[in-house]
Amino acid sequence: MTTDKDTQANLLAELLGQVATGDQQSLKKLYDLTSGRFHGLALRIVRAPELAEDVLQESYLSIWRSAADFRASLSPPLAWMGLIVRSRALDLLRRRGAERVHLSDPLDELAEDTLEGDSPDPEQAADASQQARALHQCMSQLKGAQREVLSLAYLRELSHGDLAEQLKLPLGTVKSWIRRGLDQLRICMGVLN
Amino acid sequence: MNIVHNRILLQRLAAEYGLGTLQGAARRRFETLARQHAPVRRAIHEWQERLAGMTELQAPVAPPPAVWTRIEIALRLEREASARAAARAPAPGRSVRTVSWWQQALVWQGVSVAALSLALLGWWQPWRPSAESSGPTQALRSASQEYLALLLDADNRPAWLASWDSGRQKVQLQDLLGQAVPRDHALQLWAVPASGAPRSLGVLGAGEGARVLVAAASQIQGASLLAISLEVPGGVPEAGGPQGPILFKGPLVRKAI
Repeated sequence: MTTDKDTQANLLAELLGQVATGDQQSLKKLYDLTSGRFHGLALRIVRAPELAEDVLQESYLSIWRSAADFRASLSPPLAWMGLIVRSRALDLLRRRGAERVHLSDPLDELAEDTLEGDSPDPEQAADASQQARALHQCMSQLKGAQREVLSLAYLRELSHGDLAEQLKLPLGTVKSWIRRGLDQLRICMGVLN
Repeated sequence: MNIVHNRILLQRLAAEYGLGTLQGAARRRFETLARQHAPVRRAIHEWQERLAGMTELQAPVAPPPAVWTRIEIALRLEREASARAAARAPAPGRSVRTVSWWQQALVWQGVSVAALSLALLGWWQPWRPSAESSGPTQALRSASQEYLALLLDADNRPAWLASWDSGRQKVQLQDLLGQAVPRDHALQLWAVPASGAPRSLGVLGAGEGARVLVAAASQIQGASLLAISLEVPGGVPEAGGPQGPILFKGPLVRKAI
């Protein structure tokens, strides 16, 4: 039985297939369907509007060039594209040496951001892959600050040490939050075997 | 402790690997285990899929229309550049990725391709005999030397044509792709010997199509590659070498015909 969500995923996969043949119209359609969400992701990682726009531009150009590498059987389209956006964002941060600049906000404020950022509107939730929805549900069961630490670790590829230093937390705290957070995710997402 | 058979521990490590917090030597050890054991590879793969959902959870923010416009322009420039390059020379098949780019063997695989492209470009100036010389062998012993380089971009498209001659002691550069330099940056030209540090030949000036930089014979002779890096305005000191990414590079060949 195909649900609306599957239909969306199929549409995106099909568009990626067209983009791989050099069809610019399909890239535009893909952009119209997904740029809002990936712009939000870019903003979350680089935290500056001008940088986020550069990331978005470079991401869709990367997608244009590498669409032939996408395999629908191996990965949902949004996850594949999302990882490209994350990579371009990290590339940009590295080029500008700006990794440390925006993590001076206190953890509570960041956690508030996360709370709002992780509540996708119903329309967007419909598009998200099943994995993403499961992850979202399980992440929302974590404490705000714990959730934020996990998000930062992933989105910005930060080590325990980096996180501890930039969030001004003890290293032990960071390590145990991450370990316990991942354990909870593991149980919540039904992985025990 | 046997990680492979301890399911909880394996899940924990695979989760931290997928998250990115398993780093350095521990990460490499885990990767070695993954190469040897399928359950480890599976666990890593599952966690990477699971966590990839983090990139899908952000609240959407509509981007300004200018972003799509810039994408369109970039695509058009790429098309035009491909058409121009295709009209001049057969496009090389494989792209070359290098880390210490001037030291790796892969760079030298590009040599024959670039040489072929140069020949087909038909850019050669006809050989002008000097007053004392006669016959082709004299050309090799004549005082005048000429060097050429075809600098390719990351997709192996010809991007810059460079020539230097001992008479004028200047590098002349022709822009083949017409790419705009990103704002707040400069393009810096380097001459790279087979061993030893790159020599800076200066920052490219603005201007349509062709750029000219002064370069002494000592900087050019002995260099194997020319490269252009993306730097801050004004460029960087030679001593530190290129600081920004290398955008274009190609072997330097002495012209003998």
